[in-house]
Amino acid sequence: MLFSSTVFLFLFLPIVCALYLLVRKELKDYVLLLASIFFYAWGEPRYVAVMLLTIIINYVGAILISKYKCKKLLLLLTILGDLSFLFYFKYFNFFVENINALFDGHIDFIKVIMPIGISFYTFQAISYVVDVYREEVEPQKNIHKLALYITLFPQLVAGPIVKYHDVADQIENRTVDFEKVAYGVKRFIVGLAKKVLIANTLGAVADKVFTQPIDQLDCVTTWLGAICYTFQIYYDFSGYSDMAIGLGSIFGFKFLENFTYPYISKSISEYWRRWHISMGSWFRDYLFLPLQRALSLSKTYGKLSHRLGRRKINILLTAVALLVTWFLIGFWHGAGWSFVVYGLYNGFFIFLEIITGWNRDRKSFAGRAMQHFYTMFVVILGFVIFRSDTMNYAWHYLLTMFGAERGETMYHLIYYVDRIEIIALIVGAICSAPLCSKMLEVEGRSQLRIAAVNLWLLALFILSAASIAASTYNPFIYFRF
Amino acid sequence: MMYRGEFTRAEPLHFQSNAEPTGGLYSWRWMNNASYASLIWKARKKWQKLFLQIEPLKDGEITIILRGPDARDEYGQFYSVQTDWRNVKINGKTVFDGPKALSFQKGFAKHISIKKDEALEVEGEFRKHQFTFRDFTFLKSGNLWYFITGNLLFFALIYRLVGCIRGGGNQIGNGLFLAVFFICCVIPITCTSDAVRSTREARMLTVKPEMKEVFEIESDYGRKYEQWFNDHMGGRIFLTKLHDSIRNKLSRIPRTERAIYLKEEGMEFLTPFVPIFNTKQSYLKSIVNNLILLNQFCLQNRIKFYVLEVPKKEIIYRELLSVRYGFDEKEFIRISRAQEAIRNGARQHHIPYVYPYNALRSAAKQDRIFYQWLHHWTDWGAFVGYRELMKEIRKDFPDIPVVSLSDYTKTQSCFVRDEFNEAYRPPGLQLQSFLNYGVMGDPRNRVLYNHYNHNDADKMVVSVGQYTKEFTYPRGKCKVMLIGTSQNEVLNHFLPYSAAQLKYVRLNLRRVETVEQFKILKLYKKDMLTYKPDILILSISTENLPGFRNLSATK
Repeated sequence: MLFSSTVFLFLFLPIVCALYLLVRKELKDYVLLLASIFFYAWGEPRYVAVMLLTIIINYVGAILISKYKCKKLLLLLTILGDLSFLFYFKYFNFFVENINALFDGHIDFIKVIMPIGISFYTFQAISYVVDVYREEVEPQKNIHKLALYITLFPQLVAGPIVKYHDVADQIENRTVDFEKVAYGVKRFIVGLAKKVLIANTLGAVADKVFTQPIDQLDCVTTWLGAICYTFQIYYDFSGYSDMAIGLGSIFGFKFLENFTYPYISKSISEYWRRWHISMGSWFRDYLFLPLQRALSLSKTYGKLSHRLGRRKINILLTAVALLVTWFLIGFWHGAGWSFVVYGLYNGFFIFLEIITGWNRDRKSFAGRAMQHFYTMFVVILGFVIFRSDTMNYAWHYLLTMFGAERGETMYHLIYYVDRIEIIALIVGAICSAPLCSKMLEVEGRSQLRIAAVNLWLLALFILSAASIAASTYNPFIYFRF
Repeated sequence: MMYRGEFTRAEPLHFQSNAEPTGGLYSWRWMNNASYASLIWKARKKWQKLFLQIEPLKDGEITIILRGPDARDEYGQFYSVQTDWRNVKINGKTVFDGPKALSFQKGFAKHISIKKDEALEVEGEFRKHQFTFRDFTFLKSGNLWYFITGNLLFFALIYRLVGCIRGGGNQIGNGLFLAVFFICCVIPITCTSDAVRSTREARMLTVKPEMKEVFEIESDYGRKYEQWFNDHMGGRIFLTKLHDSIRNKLSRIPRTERAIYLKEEGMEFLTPFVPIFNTKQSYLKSIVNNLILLNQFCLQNRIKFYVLEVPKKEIIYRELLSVRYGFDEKEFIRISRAQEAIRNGARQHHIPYVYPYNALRSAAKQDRIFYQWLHHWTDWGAFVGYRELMKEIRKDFPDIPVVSLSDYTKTQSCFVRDEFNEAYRPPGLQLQSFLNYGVMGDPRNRVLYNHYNHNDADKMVVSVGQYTKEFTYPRGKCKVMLIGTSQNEVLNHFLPYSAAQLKYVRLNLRRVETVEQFKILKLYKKDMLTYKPDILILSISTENLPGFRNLSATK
């Protein structure tokens, strides 16, 4: 079920909200758990079994980790169990394809559809066992509470990846109050409008461009496609995160922000601190930092630092940790080489910024403008790699963007963008800066202002609903992951 | 006071002898020798009496239909307005006591046999609909469940919210906001429609899926249910209209997935404007080779082979698209060159190839050559194409008669005639386009097309097959086989009057894959050898040219 589907908006959401808000406190968890399982089962009921198995593995794994001394082994086994599902459903065919290509093999592909959101809930499950292993949290005694954490429908299919230590207390004890519900509904509407009104509109333009054969695109069209896609993916994903945070708030949870205006960043490092924060911090907390620490504690580190000097070896160590992390971040996004290249591409610029100090704040306006221009330039080009089906297409697309190749365009720009798309592009550009960031705040605001914002939000909701009713074009990009 | 009804409108429908309807709004009903009349009264708040006496001139059958007014909005979309009826009697016999609320869509019908000289009396009372508890009858089966659960839950929820507001103090604005939000959320499920068909979308709506067994997991039940809900949720029409009106007001060129609409000119064009196909010399040469092979087959069987390429509407109006709207001219030029290469290749091998581009361009100054909302040519366009084709045919068959417009009676209609089983397409298509672009009220779209009906239509014998039509006309010459796509439907108002016998094979009606459609020899070799035509005409539109790569395929 998609958040922007009619069934979710007009059937599932109101009924679940009503039930949840009306039942007694001790029943709320059960209502939410059942609703989450129903939500997941709606599209593909068979894969509920995979998710339930993940829950059982992690429940048992965490209890064993907390009880026995061979914690590391148990942790590894549990993580291996989690990753095996991910590997089977998401990466198996990719490996088969590459092995066949490399060794001229004939291994058969498996006919399997990837369960929705498997990348997200697997990472949440891993976060839980690692937190238990690090003794940051107690293992969950009630399996239904762990199930609630893993299956919680607001963040189940497209994140944010909620780390267990961030919500452990809320799972045990949370309050639902009127203000949270009101804020949640408002946040949900904002997310819905972002997704439906901006991301879908610009997505249609990007799709038109990216589905053209490369020899039928010219420089201007390719830039248009890339820019539209850059905004589409931001509004699509951040819209989804807003909806998830809003829904969480309705049910009494407080999820951490997943996007903090990434397009105002002045470096790629800053950009990744603002973009898909939950994923970035997950990789930082559970991969990059432990890896860096492990490398720095290794014997080789000691020997090399003695030979090369501490500064050089630290740079080398960071480079290795970045390489591994960004390789896996790319790979997490999808089983394809273009995703891996996308990950390494970002890792490369972050490494470059670390060693050159380019990511330090500039004082002059020109300097900051240059930094901003550089960041957006790198981001837009990165998204071309991300959006392209093959690396070959991405390469020729990039060449066309810079005039190194020139196709014969088929259509004038008006074929791709009419007034609506231009409006969406302008609104998209404006709203990607924190100009209206405090719109939803109620504290200290006059009733008139609150009423105006509420009316505006209701209008946005009706417009979004109209767009949903009128269109079947509604795929969430991040469902692939 | 008694009202005596009078015929305010009596419009007999006209039918051809083969019972295929050719006109009138009710073309989907296949009736012989039928006619209808409607009597219109103005309903008031108070009960009014109706008394109607019908005296038939001969034996027959009559259907009495009682219903509400034919109410439509500015988009032409029906909306239900009810009229209450009671004490309805036919020939003194009570049909129902009532009161019954009847709408235009859900009326009451009674079918009766009547005899000459026997008067039929219909009486009853009617008034403007008054709201009663009976109006809750829409809450049947599924709806009732949704209504009760939905409303109970939401009244409780809103009650709870109000409680929160009272406790929270300064939160009235947010409380109202939440109440409105949840009410908006609950409307679509409590007011689902049970419509079967959507006029607006010209399609059948999805049927509600049923769970096979209580515990059986049906993997696509959710998807099916979602499709049903999308089609039937309450407020769907309102939301769609709202969306379309905003989109169309804001857009300079409203567009759907497959077409664009030039607002100012009131013309729709399909996208892509020109067929996307390989324009490499080797590819074009292979198309010509295929034509040669088909021509060789015809020569071996003493059939004269002609090709008629119907120019694409977008190519005829290329200047409008490229100059006025800035669509890139390069692609048009590219495709023109490719077309020219094919035409020249065909001519070099003495295959008559007719491309009435210039004739159509000049004819466009006199009348519309393409329908406003369709990619098909009008009667006038088809006539011009026919004239050009006949010029070529008469070089080889000088005796073959050529019709002129003086042989035809001109009628005017806003309908489009272009489909295989209907002489006229009901207004659905045009209406759908109007609705899609939200331009229903725009006077630019009230176009009357000239339709030409041959004066000897009654002498033409037509037999219709699954994807073939055979015409026999005593005044024609030669045996012709016409193979082509939908453009030929209108051409068939002219070409059969030149031939003694004409067999028309509609390429894209046969249930084969698109790539298979043009395998003429594979699909129609037997037909051609059995029918033994003097002339074979392959008539297709420019967009089908890529299909020529399969033309001579025999397997």
